[in-house]
Amino acid sequence: MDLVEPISDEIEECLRHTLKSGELLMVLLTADLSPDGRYDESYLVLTQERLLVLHPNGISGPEVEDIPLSNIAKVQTCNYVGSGALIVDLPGQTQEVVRFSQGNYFKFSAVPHIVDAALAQPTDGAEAETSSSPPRRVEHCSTCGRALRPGSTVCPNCIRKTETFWRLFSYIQPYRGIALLGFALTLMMTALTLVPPKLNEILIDDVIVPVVTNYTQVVDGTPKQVLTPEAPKIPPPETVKLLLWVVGAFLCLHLIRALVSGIRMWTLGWLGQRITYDLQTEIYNYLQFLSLSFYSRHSTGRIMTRVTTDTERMRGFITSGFQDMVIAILTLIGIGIMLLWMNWELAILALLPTPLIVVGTMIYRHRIHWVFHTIWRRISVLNSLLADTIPGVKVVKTFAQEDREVERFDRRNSELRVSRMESVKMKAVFLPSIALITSIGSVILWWFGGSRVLENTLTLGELQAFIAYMVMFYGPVRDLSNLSDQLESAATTAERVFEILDTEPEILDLPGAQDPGCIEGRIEFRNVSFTYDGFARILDAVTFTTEPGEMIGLVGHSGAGKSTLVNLISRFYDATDGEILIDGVSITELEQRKLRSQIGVVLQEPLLFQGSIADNIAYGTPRATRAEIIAAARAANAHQFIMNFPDGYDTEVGERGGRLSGGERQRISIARALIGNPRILILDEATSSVDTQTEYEIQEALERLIANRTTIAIAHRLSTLKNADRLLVMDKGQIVEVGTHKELLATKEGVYRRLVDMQTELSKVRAL
Amino acid sequence: MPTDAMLDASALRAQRADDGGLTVTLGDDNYEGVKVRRAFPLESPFEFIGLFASDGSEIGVVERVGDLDTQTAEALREELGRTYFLPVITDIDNLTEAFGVLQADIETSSGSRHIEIRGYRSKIRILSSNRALIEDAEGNRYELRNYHKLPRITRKILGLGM
Repeated sequence: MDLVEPISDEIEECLRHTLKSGELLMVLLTADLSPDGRYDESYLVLTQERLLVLHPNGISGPEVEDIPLSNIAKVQTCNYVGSGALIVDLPGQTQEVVRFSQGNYFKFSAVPHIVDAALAQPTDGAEAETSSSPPRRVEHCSTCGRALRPGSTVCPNCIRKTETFWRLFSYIQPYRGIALLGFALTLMMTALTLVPPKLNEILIDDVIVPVVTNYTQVVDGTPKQVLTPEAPKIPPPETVKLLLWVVGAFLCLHLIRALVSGIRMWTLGWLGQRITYDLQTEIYNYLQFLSLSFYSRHSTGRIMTRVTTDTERMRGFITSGFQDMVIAILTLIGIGIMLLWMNWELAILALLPTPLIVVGTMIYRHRIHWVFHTIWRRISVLNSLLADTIPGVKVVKTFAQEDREVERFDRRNSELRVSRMESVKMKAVFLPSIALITSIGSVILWWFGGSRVLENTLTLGELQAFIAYMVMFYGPVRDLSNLSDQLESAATTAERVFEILDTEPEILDLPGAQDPGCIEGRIEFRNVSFTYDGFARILDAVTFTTEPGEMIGLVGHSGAGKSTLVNLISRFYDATDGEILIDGVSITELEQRKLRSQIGVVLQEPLLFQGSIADNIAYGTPRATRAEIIAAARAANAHQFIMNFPDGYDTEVGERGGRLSGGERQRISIARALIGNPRILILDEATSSVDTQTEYEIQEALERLIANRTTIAIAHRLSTLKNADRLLVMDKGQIVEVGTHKELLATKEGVYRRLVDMQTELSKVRAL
Repeated sequence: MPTDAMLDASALRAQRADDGGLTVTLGDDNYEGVKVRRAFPLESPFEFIGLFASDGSEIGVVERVGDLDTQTAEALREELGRTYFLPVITDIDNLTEAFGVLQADIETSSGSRHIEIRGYRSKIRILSSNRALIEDAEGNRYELRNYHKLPRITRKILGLGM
């Protein structure tokens, strides 16, 4: 995040006069509230010597408040409701220096850290801190300044659509032969749709009318064709021959159309499926290489949408939307030319309703978009109500609130019905209106065209062809009215997918990264600090060393940084500061996959994948033999219960292991962690979500397993860590106590002692 | 990791007792009323057979039935056959689907049956080597071998590859 924001010329001029030579500008942020809560700008400036606050609305130019850093004891941000302030502790007083609205809170939250660093290292600390400054919580487009959707850097307003479309169409490149064939067939289909009206014209003008005219008699003063079914006439042979030709041409045309249409559907279908397959495979492969931080920034649902719905939409656009657009344009051009060529005056009359259709369609689409938006929102509200109440039906029944829930559902369902009726009403107005306008075009044509036929300046066949072409003309007009929406939607969708493919994995193997080989398991943390969001330090200068085969217990309150610490050992994240070494080598110099293959991890909530128990145990070592699978399960105290299942190790565990109990899942996850014989074992609350008997069995298995492995175990139940070689007690990201269980218990005012006392008290209360 | 549960095939003897139960002798130890359980009943039915004493405690695991002497192997196979009943489907006729329920007349290694499969997409499990495990509405299970050789329409209805 840029902590030096752009400023007006007046403020820049003022700063130039205020700052001394050699004074380094570290922070320049704009605050947007006055102390009394009105929108008013002021500027916070931090240099390595002082904190300045500039108020631009002074009587004679900006007023400058000057606070030397040497006077500052502490700087902190204070989060009010809807706004925040930067508070400075000065000798004898606390001063609110700037006030800002909630949206600016995050950028100001970086300031206390930078001031601390400046106070600690007055000369060169600034640069280092500025470079590790936090990212904005709400990202904005760097071009237009619009707020971006969470987790996305794509601004729909600023997408370079041409580039995106070129990239999108690059997926056709490997199949260009098929794509060209599909396109040629599309052109052919378009051309073939223009032929029938012309054949009709020939049929009427050259076959039917010349003969039928002879059958016309005046009846009641009006010429009419008089039918004589009892004595059929014999038409001239050359006319019959021509009729046969025309009918034959119709038949051939329909056959060719059916053939072309079939081949086109197959071709485009094949192309579409290949593109979807390529895109989905590419994204999924890439997702496997992205760092965990990517997954913490993007919700699972959103990532799934990219892989499934968005790629499907892209396929739809490439193979269908784009082709339909081309067909529509070509049809319009083709029909326009035909109409003008046949009779330009009638053509102009025929095209008269076109602007009405274009404008009407655009207005309709704009309005119905919002109606649909409301419908989707209300469906989503209804779904969330169902997702709440159906799983929670026991609570509803317990409190006898069935009527209330029915009423709540009814209210939301009524809202949905009302908005759906809105769309029905709009359709009921729009669709008949368009049909009416089209019909009016036909009426105009019938009048003017019919008059011309009567005046003998236009044939009946030409008029019929004209009307047929005109009807065909309005469909593409309506389709193209939606062109910009379609293009925008396709571009945004494509850009969202490309955003994933363009994300750089944050954890990368350095060039020449080493294969750690079979490690001994010496772990060393040297002054390691870590932050997820660039601001809050989850780990703060952590330093410790574990010897190979040592068992370390990590203890502390929730949020003390224990899980983060073990995540860094697996290199799911890189330390923000400091260094982590395995057997004396920095983990950033080791091949991450080889490193992880030597680390076994057992989590509090073990996740199993759909498949058999054997598949899950062998997940990290797919070539494991059945004997090895059984040995790992036996070591994890899982063999006995697995053998009790009718299908033994072939038992399906279900989605996320849902067919097994928590304790069973946990023991399988322990077997999974052990089968690769890892040198480092990480147990993150491995026994906290199981009952006492299961905990005992798991604990028994674990004690057998930690021998000769470096083990780092996190546990809230402190009794489970009694046998650890050493306990590291963490508090607010720091290691505050180190020692054995006995040593730490002996420290009466210690954090560990307090935790043990609290758990003992709790056990007594539970026992009562 | 302990692998000592694997039993020494040469030291293992098994035979049927007069009461029909299985008696196992392992070195100097003698077990009566032994129960057998397959570790991998679907994927490897004659390997990794768990032997359990009458009190439920595990005697050990036989790695391969084929490694045992003929009489012991025979006794174990017989006991396994008695413990595990999984008819093999040899023919499927009159397969129809309506409202998510499959109905079929099947010929199996144990005779003919008429079966119904409800929620069949979750009741047909693909195994290795072109085999599938089918569970009918009453919870009976059948093994279908070489399903790739079934008529295309049958495979399509059963959802076993197109």
